[in-house]
Amino acid sequence: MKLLQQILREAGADLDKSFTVIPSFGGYFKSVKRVEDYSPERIVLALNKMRLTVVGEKLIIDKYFQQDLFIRGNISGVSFE
Amino acid sequence: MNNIVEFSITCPPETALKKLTKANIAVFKLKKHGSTLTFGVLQEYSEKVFAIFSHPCYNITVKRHSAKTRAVTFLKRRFGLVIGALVFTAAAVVSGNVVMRIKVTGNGSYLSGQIISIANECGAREWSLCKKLDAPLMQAKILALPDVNFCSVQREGAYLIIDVRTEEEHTARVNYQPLKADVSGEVYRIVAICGTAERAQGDKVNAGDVLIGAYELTEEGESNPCLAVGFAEITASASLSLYYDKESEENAQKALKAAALYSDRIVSQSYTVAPCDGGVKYDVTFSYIQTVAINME
Repeated sequence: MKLLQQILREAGADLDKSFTVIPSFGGYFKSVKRVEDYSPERIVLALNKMRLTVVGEKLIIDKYFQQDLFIRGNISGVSFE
Repeated sequence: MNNIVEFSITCPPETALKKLTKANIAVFKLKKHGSTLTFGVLQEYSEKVFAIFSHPCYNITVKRHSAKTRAVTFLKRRFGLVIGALVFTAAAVVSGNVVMRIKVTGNGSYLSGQIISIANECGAREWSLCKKLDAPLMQAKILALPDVNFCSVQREGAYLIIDVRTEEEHTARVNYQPLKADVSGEVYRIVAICGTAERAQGDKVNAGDVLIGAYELTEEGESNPCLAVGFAEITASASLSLYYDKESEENAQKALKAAALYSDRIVSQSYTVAPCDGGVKYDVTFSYIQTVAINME
């Protein structure tokens, strides 16, 4: 994960934030309690007090470990509930 | 990452992620293909994943083993191939250093005994490893042999080919010795083309005496070695005895002819007849000219 974090940092991501989305690459999400729904077009993540919906194309959960989740794919939008 | 095992499972992704997260297992490359889910975990967690999804409804299978497991499986399934490849590689490495046979070619092959001895001295032996072949030293030693004027050493596979050429037109050996008399007698004629004549015409000589020395004298009287070239004719005497049943002119001629067999340059001959055991004995005494030469071929 260190390498990934380094790549994200080089790409301008702020890893202290809850999530960072890089267009045409993917997104890095923190404090993900669970994945409530998953499909290549839509992923619903349950955070501490809210639900976060990621939409896009060819979405892959590239890594999920200890509440850190990295989604690879073309993310077109993120919404909260 | 090479140590990731990829699984295929029929299960909702939320359930799979929930179970794996609860077991504190990192999930990689989770994808959904219809109702089937694929994901990867580290090699050491693969058994744990099977335990988590042990229920038959999940229909879990390994889609792709880790690189290490695949390599080990590949080698196990092709054990014979691996052994063959190793043997081939070893043979290829070793064959470059093995000499199975030493071949001497060219018109100098009559020297093969000496040449193979030289090759052995320089580290090349048949049916043995030859890592330190000193080809330049071998060539130098072979070229030092008499009459050898060309030598090349090269490897052709496991063969060591030594091409040796000698000077064909000058096969006669040079004799560095002085000319010596091979019979006792009187010097009839002596010709020293090169070297120094130690005897003169009319001198008495014994067998083994030097006639032409292999040296030249300078004006200061110093002796310089050189080749002895020349010849000498020595008048020598000999006798032989022959036995016949009776004395006759015919037997006398036979006895004299016998002397001619001894030398073809008879100078003089005479005979005496004496009775012997019911017959006669002819004692023929004759003188002849013996020629000795050195380096005159």
